[in-house]
Amino acid sequence: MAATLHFRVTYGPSADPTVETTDAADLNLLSADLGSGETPAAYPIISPDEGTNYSYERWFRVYVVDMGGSSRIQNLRIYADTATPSTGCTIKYGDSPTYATPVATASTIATSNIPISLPSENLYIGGSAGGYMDTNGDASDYGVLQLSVSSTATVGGNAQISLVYDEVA
Amino acid sequence: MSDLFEIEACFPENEYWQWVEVYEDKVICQFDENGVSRHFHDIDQDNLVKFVMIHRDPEQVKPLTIPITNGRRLIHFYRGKKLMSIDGTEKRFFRAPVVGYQETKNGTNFKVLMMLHDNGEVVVIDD
Repeated sequence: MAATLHFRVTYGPSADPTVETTDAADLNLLSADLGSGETPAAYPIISPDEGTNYSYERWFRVYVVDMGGSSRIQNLRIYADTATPSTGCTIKYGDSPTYATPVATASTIATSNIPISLPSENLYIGGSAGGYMDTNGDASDYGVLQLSVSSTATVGGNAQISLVYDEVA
Repeated sequence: MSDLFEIEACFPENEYWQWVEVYEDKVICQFDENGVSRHFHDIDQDNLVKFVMIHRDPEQVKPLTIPITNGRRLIHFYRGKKLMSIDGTEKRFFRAPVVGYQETKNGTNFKVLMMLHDNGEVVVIDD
């Protein structure tokens, strides 16, 4: 039986974060620090006259709901089918072992364009490469997404985010 | 050595491939009659004579024997992929076994990996 993994979103202040307990409804990148289930139409990021505007960081973890009889989940890799879901908009990605209050200024975590092909391990477990999860309830480090929006940005756009992992029987 | 073709392998629902460990005195399938999988660390690589991947439809898909001679170390895991669109309108899941070996030649580590698809297709992958 296959292991069951969730994307679980965390938001709110680091002193009192809200941790979602179900698989994320979406990973929308918004102008407010909210959980999944909210829409960009309600929380748009305004294209600036000059410079760059940013969405709030979207923090998530990969959570083991059920190991499904397997012994390890490891080698987590995050990538997308595009880093530019629409003109003038770029999805940034990074990871962190510890949670911090999401910001809507240039992220110091999500600093690289999200990879658009299968990368090497880029969502660590336990703070460094080579870690693994082996128990129901285990979670990865935090993946952080942010949308940067330039003055040339056009409305709309979407991207497919993929998590690739290795499951050892 | 036991004859691989005498075994009766049980395939749990949604599993299209399973490994078969062949030793001098016994043959062990990955899944038991209850669909419970052995663990990779259960495999006695030091005494393994043959490691074979078999498909649930043996008439259509030939067994795949992994060459584990000359000190090669066996690799087996499932490659999982969970895809979701940022807006949540699309969610998909994919899982397939990956099997192969690694060996060290002249101080350099080499790895051969093959992804085994449900339809019997075998694809060599980079990592």
